[in-house]
Amino acid sequence: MVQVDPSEDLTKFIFNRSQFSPSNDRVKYSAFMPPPNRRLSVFRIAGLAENDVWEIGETIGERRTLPLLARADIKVSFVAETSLKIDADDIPPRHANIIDWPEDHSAVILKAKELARKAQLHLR
Amino acid sequence: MSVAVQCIGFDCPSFLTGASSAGFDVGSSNRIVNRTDEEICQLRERVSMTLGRPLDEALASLREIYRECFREDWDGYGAAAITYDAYKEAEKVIKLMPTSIHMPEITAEPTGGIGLEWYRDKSQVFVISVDGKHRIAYAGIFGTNKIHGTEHLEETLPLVIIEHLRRLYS
Repeated sequence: MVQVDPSEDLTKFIFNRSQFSPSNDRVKYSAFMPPPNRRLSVFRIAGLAENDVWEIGETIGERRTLPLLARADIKVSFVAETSLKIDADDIPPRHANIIDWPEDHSAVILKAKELARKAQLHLR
Repeated sequence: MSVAVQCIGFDCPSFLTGASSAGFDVGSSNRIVNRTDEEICQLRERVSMTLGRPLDEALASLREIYRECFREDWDGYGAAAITYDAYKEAEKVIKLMPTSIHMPEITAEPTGGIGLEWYRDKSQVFVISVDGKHRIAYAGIFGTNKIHGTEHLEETLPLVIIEHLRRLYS
């Protein structure tokens, strides 16, 4: 597994408007909940300019025919604090998954909530 | 006999503020009764609008989320579809909320559930999640205390959910 520096930033691109609140300038926990395969897809954005970060999200959105609405940035160290792990598979480049989610659904919600409250919302 | 009625904190209905010199024959009594009925109906409508709007808004938001997320992969990451059962269960929970409790923000979960979130600030948050299988998963952050668990959903909201919501707004 590729080692990821704790000071690095990760971002989660958001394509559904129920997963963030522009009026409160916050990300909702559901944006950080893993899908049924239990691998939460994120991108490592260290060293990238703002436009380059958005470009990654736009490319993903085009492939999935969904408009990119926002993104949520979070430090790797915060992910580690919640006892989750990062699998930096680099497929596509800079891609990683947040893994090791608990089995219990309410525990998953709590972890997602902890990530969301440490995340920074950026609107497209 | 006359009765003094004091209107404090709300607009007096006109039947309480009409001219005192009006006569009280049968016709005028009927008119007063009819007018009283109308005024009471108007007052009821006013109260219902005040209490009903947040509930209506929450239900409208829920409907919109269901419309957007009832197919798989609605989030672009392989999300499970929000089921009709989850939608109806979320609707039931919202309608069961005591009127003294704020209406939640609603969100779609990638696992196919619907989340109801009460957010005061980053350190005061409570979430419940339903998936159409008669169970409520909940999680909360109350300062440095963190809780989570699951309850069976029947015809009333589990007491533990109400208690955590009261704790959030106490």
